[in-house]
Amino acid sequence: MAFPLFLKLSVYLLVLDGLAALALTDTVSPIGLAGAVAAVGLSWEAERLRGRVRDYRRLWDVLTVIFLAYAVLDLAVLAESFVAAIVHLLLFLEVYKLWNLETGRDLLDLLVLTFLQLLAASTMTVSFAFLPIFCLYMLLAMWTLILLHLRQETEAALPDRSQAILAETRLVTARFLATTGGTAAVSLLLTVLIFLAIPRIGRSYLPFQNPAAPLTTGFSERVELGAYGSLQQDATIVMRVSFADSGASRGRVPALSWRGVAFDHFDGRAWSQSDPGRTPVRRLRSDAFLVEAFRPGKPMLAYEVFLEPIGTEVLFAAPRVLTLQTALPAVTMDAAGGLLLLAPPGSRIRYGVVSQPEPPPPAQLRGAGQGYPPAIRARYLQLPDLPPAVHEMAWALTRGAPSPYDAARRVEEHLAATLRYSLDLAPAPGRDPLEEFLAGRQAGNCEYFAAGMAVLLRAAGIPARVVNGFQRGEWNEVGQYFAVRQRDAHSWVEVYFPGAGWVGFDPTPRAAFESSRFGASGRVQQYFDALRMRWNRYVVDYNVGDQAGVAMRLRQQSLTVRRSLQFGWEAGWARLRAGASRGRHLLAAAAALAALGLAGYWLARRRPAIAEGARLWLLWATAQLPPVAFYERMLRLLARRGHARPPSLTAREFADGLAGQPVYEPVRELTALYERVRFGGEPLAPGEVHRAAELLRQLAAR
Amino acid sequence: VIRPTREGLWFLVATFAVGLAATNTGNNLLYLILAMLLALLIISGLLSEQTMRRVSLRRELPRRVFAGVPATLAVTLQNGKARAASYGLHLSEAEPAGGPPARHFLLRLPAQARERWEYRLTFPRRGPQALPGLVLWTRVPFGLFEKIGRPVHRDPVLVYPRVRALRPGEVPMVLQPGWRERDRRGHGASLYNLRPYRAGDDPRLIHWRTSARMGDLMLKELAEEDRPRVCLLLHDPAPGSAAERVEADLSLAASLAAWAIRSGVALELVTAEGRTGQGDDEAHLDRILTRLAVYAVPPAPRGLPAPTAGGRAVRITLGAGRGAEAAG
Repeated sequence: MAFPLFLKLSVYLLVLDGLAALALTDTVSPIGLAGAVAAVGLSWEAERLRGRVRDYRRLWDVLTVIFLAYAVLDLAVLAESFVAAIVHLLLFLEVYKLWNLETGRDLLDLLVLTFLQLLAASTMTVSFAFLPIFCLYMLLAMWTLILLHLRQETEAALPDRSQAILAETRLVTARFLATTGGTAAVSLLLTVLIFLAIPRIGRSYLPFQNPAAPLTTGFSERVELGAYGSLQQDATIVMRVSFADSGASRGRVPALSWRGVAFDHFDGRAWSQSDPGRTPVRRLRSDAFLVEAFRPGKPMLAYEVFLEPIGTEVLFAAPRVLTLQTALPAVTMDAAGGLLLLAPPGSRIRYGVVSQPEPPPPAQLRGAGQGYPPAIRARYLQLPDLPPAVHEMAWALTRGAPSPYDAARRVEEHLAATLRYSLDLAPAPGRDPLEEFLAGRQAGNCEYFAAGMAVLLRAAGIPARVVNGFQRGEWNEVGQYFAVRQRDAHSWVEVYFPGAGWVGFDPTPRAAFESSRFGASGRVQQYFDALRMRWNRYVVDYNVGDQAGVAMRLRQQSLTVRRSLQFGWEAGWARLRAGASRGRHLLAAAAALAALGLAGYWLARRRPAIAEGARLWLLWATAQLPPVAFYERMLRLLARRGHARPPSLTAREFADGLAGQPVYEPVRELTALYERVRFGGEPLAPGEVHRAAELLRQLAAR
Repeated sequence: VIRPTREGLWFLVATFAVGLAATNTGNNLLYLILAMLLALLIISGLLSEQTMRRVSLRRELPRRVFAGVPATLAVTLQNGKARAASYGLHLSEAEPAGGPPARHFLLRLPAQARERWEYRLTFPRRGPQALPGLVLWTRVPFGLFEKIGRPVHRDPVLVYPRVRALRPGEVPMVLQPGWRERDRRGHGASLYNLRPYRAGDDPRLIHWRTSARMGDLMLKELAEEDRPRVCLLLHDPAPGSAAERVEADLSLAASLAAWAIRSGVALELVTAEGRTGQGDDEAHLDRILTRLAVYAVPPAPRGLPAPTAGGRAVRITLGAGRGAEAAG
């Protein structure tokens, strides 16, 4: 491809890549972005247009003045943020440059503008799409920089002939593209290594973010019966949960769920929290918060949660959280044991959790009794005026149950067995929604099931509350984590047992619930999501703790390698000493020597400078033994260059015959040394030996 | 030596700024961009090293270099790499007389290819000197840094005094050409006799036309010729003589020597440091010019050794401004 065309093409691709980076942010509207792309595309022919349109320059001057006026307004009023106003200005400058592209300097300016776009995007997005844009940018920037540099160098060195030379010299060949592509790949690898190695000073805070996304998930901080709907079908991923032991422990807790927030107050239609107070969770170390005490004999589950911004400050975790590790400044707990941040995070957050989700054994729960503390009675037996049918159902279901635990199980099983799970909920005007669910339609979503069970238990004198959170999610085989989607939003019930605390019950028919929620996502989709997860885990959320982990792993591996080498050496040596025959020793030594020789030969072939150095060293060594070895070496070097010494000439005649040749001076000096040694019987002084070696080196280089 | 260009300085400033922003915000995507900038710095160093690796220079010096006269030098660049081409190579050598250095730019030197560059340098003074040395440098790949090789081929060069065209009055009569033919056999150019060819005679001297006419091989016998022999006496300058005048007289001596030897005169240079002996070929001219090139003005004038017997003499007293004079 022709040099100017390729340079232009790579600059345009770079510009489009910069626009793609901006598209990841909310700083430019889709219409504005489309306009920018169109302006960029049309500018390809701007050079031709420039010659035809009269007052082309003046037209752009007018446009610039208009835009500057707009930019002031944009900065003051229109733009959502300062960064957005700057991005708009960058876009205008880019379009201006493309339509007025004349010199290499303009191309360099465009390169700088695209870099600023990439920089702006990096502060406003954490999207996985940034990765391919970044990689492409690196490749294109490398091409552009190299070609632009060569063009500028040629123009500066050969101003008259630069166009012709650039056109004639076949620079942009397949080999050039492959080499620069390979170099870009190496650069990318280096970038990754440097990225991992740069010390992270301080905490990893979140980027400037676009305002938090609106509450779009099925999760809510208030449960309102009948107000649930199509959101549950949304497959957007809300969070990902990966395990420290690659998910081996997930099998131990089959009914894993991610608890969010619990509700204690029911007004007949909606569940809410009666006590809005929160207490700060005690921080143990810089990043660890102690939530509950360790309960002996129960397995622990360690995992990391990557929570997308869903507009809530609630932190989701498996029940009975022992510790929570996060770089975020503070964690609080509400009256119902929910963990919350001080404010909804603006972007994805990551936290590590250790939980003991396994409930106490049924025998212990059966023996827990009904000695509820007054505070529990006051808050978790509260009920509004309910239709008599609900009370009757509660009485009928729990009558004769030997313990509250058995009563809870009966209610749970009854609801799961007799009612139907459904997402198609038509409101029933004029009728109590709970009564409609339990006795009328007998179908509802998880919130109805949870609310129904909690109300029935409270009506039977058993403290209960409704919990909102997420079901376990879908296991990603590729990335080894649970992907929890919006449609996994779930409600269940927690029942209080004296001495054992709150224990979860889930009255929603499991099979129906799961079949309506878990679609087997394709393998390709899993790959992409795993990539996204890794991007978040190892790029966006990479921190000083990860660096320490990498360093520790490297140290361990180097220790392992060192020990195995040491062991191998000692074992081999012991074998040699113990039983090997003399002949085998000799064979081994010969093989080692041959290997060394081969390696030396290979090295000398590959690096002539090493071979020459070795020759000179040998020469230096031998120059001190036979007095005239250096002269013989000189003759060999000269013979190789076509100046063989005829036998009829004396040394001096031979040297004089070379007058005017480039080799004359070293030859003359070496001949003088030779004559002194040969006929004067005087050995060379150490300084002269060095001088002879230096002269021979000069001779060899000519 | 590696030094940043203006663009390179801006690049370093940008890298520093991005590093500062990344550290302050903890934003890992900024760290990623910082890593990219640092990787580009490393790659820039590696590629510039690669482009200069195994590029060798071979210099060809002119046979004679005269003070004040541009000398044409030649350099052959060779890319010794097996497969990789070298890009954006600059080659330069400082001008000994001051002024802009000689420069050459090569956009691309394919693998195993050679490129010859001829250029001119002017040495203002005579005497033994070293060439400034060739410097190979590049800004490849991104123009952010200049990688400058060490000067190579700082070869010694002996600069002869300037040999200029002589004005008619500057050449003394004794140096005017003229061969003296003698009436005996010798090895001159004129015919002395024709005689029958005998075994052992030089066949190149057979006179073919006469041989054809006579029907027998006839040989030319040549007359002996005497070349004019002249001795150029170079007297030390008087104390306090102007250096420019001394140099002008050395230049005159060199010009006369060149003129005389090319006219067939057997010339001998006699200075206070010794005699060159008589000679009439280019090698002898080199000996004379070398003597003149290394001539150093003594604090006081010295006596001259006696010239080789025979011939006439021309005298130049350095710094006297009298030009060349016929001597005794």
